[in-house]
Parts: sequence; structure tokens; C-alpha cells
Amino acid sequence: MNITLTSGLVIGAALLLIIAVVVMYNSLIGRKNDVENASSSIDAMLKRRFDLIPNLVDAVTHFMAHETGLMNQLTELRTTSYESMTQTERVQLDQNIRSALGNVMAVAENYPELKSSENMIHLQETLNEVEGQIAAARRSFNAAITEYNNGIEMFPLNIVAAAMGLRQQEWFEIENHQREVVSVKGLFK
Amino acid sequence: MSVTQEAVTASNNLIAEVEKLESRRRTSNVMVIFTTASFLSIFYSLNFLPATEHWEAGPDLTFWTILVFGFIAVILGVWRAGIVKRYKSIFMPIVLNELVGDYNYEPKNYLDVALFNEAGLFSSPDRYNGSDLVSVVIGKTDMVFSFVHAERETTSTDSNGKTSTSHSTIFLGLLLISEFNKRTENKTEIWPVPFDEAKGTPLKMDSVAFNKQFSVYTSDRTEAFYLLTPGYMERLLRVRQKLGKIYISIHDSKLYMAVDLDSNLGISLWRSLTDASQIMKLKYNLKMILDIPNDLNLNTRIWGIRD
Repeated sequence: MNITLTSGLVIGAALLLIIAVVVMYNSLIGRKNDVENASSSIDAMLKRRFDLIPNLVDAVTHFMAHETGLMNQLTELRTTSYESMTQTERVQLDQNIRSALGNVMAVAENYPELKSSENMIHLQETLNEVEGQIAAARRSFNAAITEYNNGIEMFPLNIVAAAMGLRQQEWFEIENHQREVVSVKGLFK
Repeated sequence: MSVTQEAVTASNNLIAEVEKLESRRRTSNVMVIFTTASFLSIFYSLNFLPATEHWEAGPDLTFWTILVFGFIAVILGVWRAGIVKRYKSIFMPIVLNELVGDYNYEPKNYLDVALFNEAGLFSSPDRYNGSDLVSVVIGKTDMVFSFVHAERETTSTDSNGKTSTSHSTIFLGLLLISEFNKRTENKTEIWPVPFDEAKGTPLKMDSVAFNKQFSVYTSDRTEAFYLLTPGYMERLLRVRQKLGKIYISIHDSKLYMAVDLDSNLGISLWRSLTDASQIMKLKYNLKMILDIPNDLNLNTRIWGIRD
């Protein structure tokens, strides 16, 4: 009788342990997938912004054709193919696009006709929307990373995480030079 | 009649109307006090005084006492609610005219149950009514609101097989619908903490203060972060502080907001209706509602939603 009770308790405890491990495993997989999903959201939004470049070039060419430096910068961006890029190239492209857009908006201040054109207004609204969505995708990514890192560092999930070979992931952070106050002095010749 | 004479006549009519309401208010207060005192005396006599040789109260007498006074209380309640409704129907147009100028106000009308269900915040009601429908444009934002009372019906059967139907409140307060200034393709709900319904795991936002006051449920994480920028979360916290419990749903580029707000809008029948503070209270509460588009920055149209 005692042996049966003891065996029953041992089996029960073993079953509970297995269920706990399965639950923790699924939880970690869920968090890992959330991170990957959030990462692809950022990519999708960046691609959407990239696809707006031709519209931007068409909108400003008529008014700013003689701003050769700026037009060359935009035209170069147009010739690249987003899908064929590596992750490093995409990060560089993101910086280039941000720089180009900033320059266009600053220089557009000198062209009231361009600023008030229906095309430009619509484009600006769309760009605002896309920039907002990119920022949101990055915040969502950081939130997913926080949940993921919490999972692999906190007890008892960290035990299962170590067995699965999961490692801490990096949050999205801006470069140091981007934390500085933006100066637009050099844009006006 | 000249314009001035018309204005004077209208003003005199208004004063006469308010004085009539004030008289009814005083009478209703006397009735409430008298009824309450009578009920308490009779109840005490029936249940706490010792029985005498010639008379003993039974449980039946207590039951009928409660039933009769309960019925009187309901009648009084309806009468008093009618006084508040009439007062609102007189002064809401005046206050709205001062605050917004252009509006549409229907005291007996309310937002359709289809719109209540469209908000997707609460379960579909079995019984639904409301009052004080207002349509207005604040800046660039179209807004419509009314008070609503949504109830669900529950049927129960006792041990003798007798069924009885009762109604419980799903939501009682202000329902507001306005244009939203960002395009949305999914649904995001923002619930005040704490709340009773089981809604699953909320999305943790990147603001500790916000997460303490609200829980967010969404079908698209990225869109929720797009809608709830750090600045917007601050705005929602301020609106909650101002209005109390608010329930928000954002979808189809519309904002649906339910607010736990008393339809009396601050009007009290224990103060004189001729007292200026009553109108000031009404104005204050109406202004809080009309300020929502500006408080939530809905008039900033830079994200693809045109005026």
C-alpha cells in the first residue's frame, strides 16, 4: 500500500514537472516568435517607406530640378532593390533615406509652390504615417525583446531557456550621433 | 414683435418654466423625505416593537409595506428624473450654443444600439435606451454622443419551476463616437484598470504609469504602438483623471469612448434649480465632453486622414 502511494506520488510529481516544462517551453517559443514577428514588422514598414521614394522624386523634380546634390541623392536611392539587400545594407539604406528625407523637407521650405501642391501635401501625410508606423514597429520590437529577455533571465524559465540554447537579444537603439540636436544650417547654401 | 421684445418674452417664458420646475422640485423633495420617514417608522414598528395582546405584526405585513413603499419610490424616481430631463432640455441648448455655436441636440434621442454594438466594447444588450443626443463638430473632428443604458436579460427558474426575468446593467453612462486622426486597419481596445471582464493577456505598453491605469487589447501589436505614442498615452492619462473611468475602442479610423458619467451632468435636485451653480455645473460637465477631441489631439491631421 505504501509502495503504491509512493509510486503514485512520484508519477504525479513527474507528470506535473513535464507539464510545467512544456508550458515554459511554449512560452519561450511564443516570446521568440513575437520578437521575429516584430522584427519583420520593422522591415515591412521600412520597405513601405523605401517604396515612397519614386513618388517623392516625381513630386519634387519639377520644382527642385536644379538642386542637383539633393536630386542625385534621391536618384541613387531609387536604383537600389530592397529585397536583394543584406541586413547591414538595409540599415545603411535606412540612414540614407532618413538623411535624404530630412534634406528634402528642409529645402522644400524654400519652394512655397511645392509645399502647397496637393501631391506634396499627400506625400508628406503618407510619410508622416509611415514614420509613425516605423517608430511604432521599433517600440513594439523593444517591448517584445523585453518580454523575451525577461523570460530567458528569470527563474525558472531561464533553466529551460538555457537548455534550448536561447540567448539575450539586443534592443533597437539609435546611434550616438542621432541623439544630438539636429542642425539644418549646412543645408542652406 | 421686435427682436428685443421677442428676447424679453422668451426670457420671461424661460423664467416662468424654471420656476414651475423649481416648485415641482421642492414638492418632490418633501415627498421623498415624508415617504422615507414614513417607511422607516412603519418598518421599525413592524419589526422592532414588541407584540401586544391585541396585535402582532407578521412577515406578510412587512412584505406588503416594502412593496407599497417600493412602488412609491419608483413613481417618485420617475417624476424626479422627469424634472431633471426637462431642466436639461431647457438649458443644454443654451449652454451648447455658448460653448460650440453650431450643434444638433435631441433630448429624447440617443445613439442607436447598432452603434453601441459597433463600438465592440460591451456585449450586445437585450434592453437599450438613452437620452440627450448631441452632434457637433469640434475643430475638424465630427463627434456625436449621448447617454445610454444597456442591459442584459437573465431568466432564472426556481425550485418550483417558476421562471422570472431580471435585467442587469451592461453599461450606463456616456457613449461618444468621433473621427480618429490616424488610419487603422485593426481593432485596439483600451480598458481602465481594474475591470471585471476576462479579456485575455493585455499588451504591455512602454509606459509604467499608463500600464497601471489601462489595459490594451489589440489584434495588431504594431498598430497599437502606432496609435498609442508616448504623447498619446499621456493624453489618455489626463483624460482619465478628468472624466474618470473611460473605455476606448479604435477601429475603422473611428474612436469609440464609453465614460462612466451620470446623465444628470451635475444637476442636483437637492439644490435650487434657480441657483446659477446648477447651470455652471452643467456647463462644466458638457465642456469636459466637448474638450475630448482637443484633449486627444484629434484635430491634428498629419497622418493621412484628411479634414
